[in-house]
Amino acid sequence: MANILVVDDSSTVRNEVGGFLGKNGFDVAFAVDGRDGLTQLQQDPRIKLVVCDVNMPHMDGLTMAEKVRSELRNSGVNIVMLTTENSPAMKERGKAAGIRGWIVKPFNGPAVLGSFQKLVGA
Amino acid sequence: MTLSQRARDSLDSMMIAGLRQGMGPQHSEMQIRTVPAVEQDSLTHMAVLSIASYSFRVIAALHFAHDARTRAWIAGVVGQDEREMGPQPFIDAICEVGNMCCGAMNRELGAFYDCLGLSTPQILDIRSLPHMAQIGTDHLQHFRIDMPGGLPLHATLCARAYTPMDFHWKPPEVEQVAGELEFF
Repeated sequence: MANILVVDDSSTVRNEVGGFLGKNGFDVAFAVDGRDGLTQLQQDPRIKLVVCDVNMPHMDGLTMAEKVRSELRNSGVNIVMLTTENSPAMKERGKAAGIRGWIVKPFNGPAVLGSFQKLVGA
Repeated sequence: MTLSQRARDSLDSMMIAGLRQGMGPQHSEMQIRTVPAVEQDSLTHMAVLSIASYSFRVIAALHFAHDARTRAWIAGVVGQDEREMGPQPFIDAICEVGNMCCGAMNRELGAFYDCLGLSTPQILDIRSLPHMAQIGTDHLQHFRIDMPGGLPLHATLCARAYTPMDFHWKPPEVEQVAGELEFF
């Protein structure tokens, strides 16, 4: 069962992030947008960390984070945004949704590996 | 003039800086310059993104050929094996380069304007390019990107200001660090 869920509409990002995390011992699941991410979390409540883009079709990442808390009532999973966005307003919305952190792309695996290990409880 | 000259120059500079960010640090030797037109004979598609606010709309397009040479280049940019890069991963990689470029522009414009919305990338046929001049444009600029190894790429920036738009932006002296986790 997966302990990290990577949510991004770009297969390039899913491959890059998932490939790095997989090589470093994590079990990784993937979703292509926020709607798919919610489905994955419903099906696998053992996911500990979600790494999620903001701008995606069908459902954006911040809406997904809000629904994780409000509809899935999952307050245990840690959510980190991985996005090109950096606006204070978006970050405030993310904080209100209970996300744990924010990463501005490009993804830098070595820079975040230790933090991800802590968030997964590894 | 709804869009001041220094705003036009600033948008062009943002686009160039954004294209460099999108292509990644391994392409620091590429040359980017403005050109009067896109040499579109060899091109097939364009990845298009927009940044919209209450007061303006910016559309950026990265033009490319869906061919083996471009696939080899983009595979290098995203660190994939070109032999394993099928049609959809190729498109996704191009879109991600465009997303990184416009994402950088979006962040810089955020210092001057509130409530910006960045679109997801869309792929259009290159025959759509002439229509960019028809959709209500205050500033239309084309760019040529010369990569080491000889692969030329092109890009277009199209801006429309709904209210007078004037700002001045120059590239930061120190490159901003990305990729770090900001904990809340």
